[in-house]
Amino acid sequence: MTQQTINSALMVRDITRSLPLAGEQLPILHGISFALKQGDSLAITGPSGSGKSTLLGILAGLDTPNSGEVWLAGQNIARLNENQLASFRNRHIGMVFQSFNLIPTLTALENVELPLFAQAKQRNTRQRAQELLTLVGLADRLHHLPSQLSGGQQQRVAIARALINQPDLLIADEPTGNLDSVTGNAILALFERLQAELNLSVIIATHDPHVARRADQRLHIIDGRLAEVQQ
Amino acid sequence: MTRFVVLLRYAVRSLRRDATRSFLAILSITVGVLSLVSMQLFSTNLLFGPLFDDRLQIGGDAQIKPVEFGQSFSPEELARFAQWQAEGLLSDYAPLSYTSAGFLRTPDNGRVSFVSGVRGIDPSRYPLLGNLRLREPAQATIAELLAEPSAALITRELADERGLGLGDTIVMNGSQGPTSFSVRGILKETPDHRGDGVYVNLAGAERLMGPNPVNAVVVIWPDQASALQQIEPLGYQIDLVRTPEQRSEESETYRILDVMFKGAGVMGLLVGGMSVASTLQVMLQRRKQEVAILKTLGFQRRDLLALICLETGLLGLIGGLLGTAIGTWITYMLFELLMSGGMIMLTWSPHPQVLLGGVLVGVLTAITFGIQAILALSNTRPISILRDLPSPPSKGDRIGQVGLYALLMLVCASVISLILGSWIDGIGLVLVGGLALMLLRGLFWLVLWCCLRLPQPFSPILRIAQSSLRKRIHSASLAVIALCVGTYAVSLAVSVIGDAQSTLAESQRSNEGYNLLIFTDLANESAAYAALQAQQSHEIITIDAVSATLQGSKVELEGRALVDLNHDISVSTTWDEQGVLMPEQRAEEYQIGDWIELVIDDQPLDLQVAGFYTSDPEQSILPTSDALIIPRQLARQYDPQIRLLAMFDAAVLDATTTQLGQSLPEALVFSRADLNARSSSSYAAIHRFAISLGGLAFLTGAVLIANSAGLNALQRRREIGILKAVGYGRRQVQVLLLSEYALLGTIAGIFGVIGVVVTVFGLRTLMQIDTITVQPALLSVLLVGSILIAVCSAALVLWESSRLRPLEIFRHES
Repeated sequence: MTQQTINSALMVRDITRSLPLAGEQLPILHGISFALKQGDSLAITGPSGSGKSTLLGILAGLDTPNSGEVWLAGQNIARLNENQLASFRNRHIGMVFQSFNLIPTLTALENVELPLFAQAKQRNTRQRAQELLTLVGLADRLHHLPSQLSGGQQQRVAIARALINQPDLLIADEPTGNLDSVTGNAILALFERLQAELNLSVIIATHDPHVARRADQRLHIIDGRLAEVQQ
Repeated sequence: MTRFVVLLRYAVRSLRRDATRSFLAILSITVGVLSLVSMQLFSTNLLFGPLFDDRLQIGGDAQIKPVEFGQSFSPEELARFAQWQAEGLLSDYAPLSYTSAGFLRTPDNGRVSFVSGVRGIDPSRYPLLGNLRLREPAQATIAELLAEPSAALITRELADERGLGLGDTIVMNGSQGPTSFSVRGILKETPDHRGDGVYVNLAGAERLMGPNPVNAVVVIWPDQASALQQIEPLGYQIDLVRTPEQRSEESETYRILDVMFKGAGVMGLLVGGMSVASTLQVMLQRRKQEVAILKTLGFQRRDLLALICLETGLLGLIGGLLGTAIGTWITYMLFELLMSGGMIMLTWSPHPQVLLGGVLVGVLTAITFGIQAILALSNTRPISILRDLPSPPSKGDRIGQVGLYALLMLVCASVISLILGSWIDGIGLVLVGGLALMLLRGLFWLVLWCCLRLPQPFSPILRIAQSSLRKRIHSASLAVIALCVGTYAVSLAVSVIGDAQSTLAESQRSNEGYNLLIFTDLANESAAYAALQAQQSHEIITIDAVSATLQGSKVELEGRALVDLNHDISVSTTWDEQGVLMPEQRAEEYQIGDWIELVIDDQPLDLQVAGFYTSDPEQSILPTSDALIIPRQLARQYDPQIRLLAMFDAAVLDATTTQLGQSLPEALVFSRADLNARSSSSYAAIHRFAISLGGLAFLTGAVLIANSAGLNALQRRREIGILKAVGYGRRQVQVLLLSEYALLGTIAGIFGVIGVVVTVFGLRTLMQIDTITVQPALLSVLLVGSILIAVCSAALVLWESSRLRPLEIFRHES
């Protein structure tokens, strides 16, 4: 483990990823490397098919690279098996999606509690979930089902859910993509507030240059390669 | 605890969200469990119940009857039994009188009930085996209640059917004419579990039968060989409880029947399980995104397995409870139907082991048959939340899957063994059933494969359908099996019902001819005759019935007037009311002019054979078959029982019977319609049972087809979207999808019908059941029905998909 790895919240080194297609391997990512400091934000941009989502999946521990290393919370997650990755995601990573991905049959409170139930022991789950929903401004919507909430409110529930396990890294895939500009701005402001208050590291994948400009760092990917890195 | 509650709530809400499919899955499990539970309960209660217990039916180790058929034991002979008991040759014995009474009425209700036996017993000795238990009065003893000759005990079936209570008077037909008894007790259990029975004491039997009414003695002996050594030389007829070899030979027949019942139940369960498998495939396929979310949040595969198994188990639990409840209810109703004939009096026993097992089987069936879908879903990769990447199972996954299948099948077989009460039966039936399903699947895969290799149809829509079915040949074969089983079950049920109906039709005679009978005595003869005339009967024949003995055998004498010949019987010679007319079957034994010696009331009577007669059973409600016909004035000397045969129009027969019964309280009046109704009631239960089982199988087939179509529609939403985007209309899409199911329905129908033809052929040749037939018209209807069921079930679930706008489909997929 190098000094840079220790100082960074996230350290990505030379990762590659290819997918099988018609009996051959189709390369998606070519030797991507970068680092993110604790409490910083990073925007990943790039056109469709550039490998943005594949990179995000690897960073979130949803997928594993063919080669390279991904260091987070002192562990190379590229070497973890499926169960270890699930446990790691639960404790260290929070994810927010463009389409919110809430469980439609659970209330806002139950959706936020849900990650805690993946752990062997749970304490004060309800209280913590209520606190987080209050933090994101939904104290009066605890027992509403997702279908009873607006898009912005659903995204706030998704953010509260992502924060329930006090993650080291919050990853958001086009978090404002399904929202109007006013609500989108409010969500981005919430991200910035949480980043500052909780000293969170945040990675946002986006097509929107306005969203990207608000991040501390920006990575632009074209054809699976880092085309530009901006501080 | 909070975790479990939230996950349980999540499971319940998910099931409610997909209510239609949850209902279908529950229905499938219900059908499966129902078939297993009902077959098992039916088999346990009936086949292995007291009705087939040899000793209970005989009433002891043996039943000893007089030397000549129809004779009675003399008091001296009965004293021998007491002596044999004193000598230790017999452990116990009980004299019995099987009376000839077969009809019963009450004075205030003119209609008769048919009774299977009026038995004279010695209450201090009877029964040697089993119980004679009272429903009311509960505290009294049988001996107390049967203290008087006019006392009678009736079974609860008879009491409930006739609304009889304690103290009511009943009239029964004895050899001396109608005889009245007073109901002193109502029985809730008899040793042989026959219903519609009446018990009187031996003095009561004498009132019905005349002197010396004991015509059988049931015995229990400590040593059969030595008892037989002493009793057999006396020439008595001895009905023995069958030897172990005879019993095992017969019990093998019952065992085959039992295994057939249970096998049908397990097959029903397996077919229901297949339906669950396809329903869960559809249900869980829709939850892929949710599982990806849960995985993203850190849930591991075991958590998800537990969660999905909880959902599936809930479905199984509900289906198991419903199936057990409905199965128990169906079997109970079937019992009630069997009881309603009044011939059997069994106590319904639901067997907790079967009920508990039924619920457990429901849960395990859901999980076992859902495991493929459960594993596929729990294997969903979390990355699929971002992009739809293929996730083929690894070699380890496949081995684990096979192991899990084996384990669950073992558990399932264990529970079925628990229900069936035999490990060999349980495991054997699951294995044989599973193997049969695999073979069927292989067969239908091959048939589909061949059909789909036929030259391509000219219609482009049909070409696309053909190509689509080629890709789904595995799932399609499953649906074909279910529908085929459904078609087969219904076809066979209809054929069996047809057989039962034709047997019934043969047993039922027309209501024409001498269609009404009055049993009465000399004192009431004139009143009965006048009543018949008042009702404007077309014809009346008077018969004076007397019992006699001919060469030691009991025979019935019918006293007739010359004018009453050549109506219901034909006499070949001239009879001038001298001598006796013999039935034609005695023509080899006797010749005209022979003298015979009859014994009536211990008095000899010599008569000369004057001729022979033949009878036409269609002509009379009570055909004369082996009676000897003597001059009526002669019969009158022996206090005969009077029988009046009358002829009425069929249309007024029922009303006339009632009116005559009411106007003649001392007589027993019944018609051919009454006899026919009694014989048809026993078939009705079998009809309903066969129809319900066939219908259930057909319904399961429809559910499977609907599921298969639903899964297909879900998987082909994109294809439907593309077709619509390039210009296909709603109707064309529907034709494309439904033509696939029409093909499946045709194959299933053809094979179902072939199965029935083969089965019927087997029944006709191997079991010599010649009455069972398959009607080509019926087969055509069932074939068309199978196609319609397939198309309609598919149309039901595909309707919505075919109406979707392409944009909605693509937007949903993005």
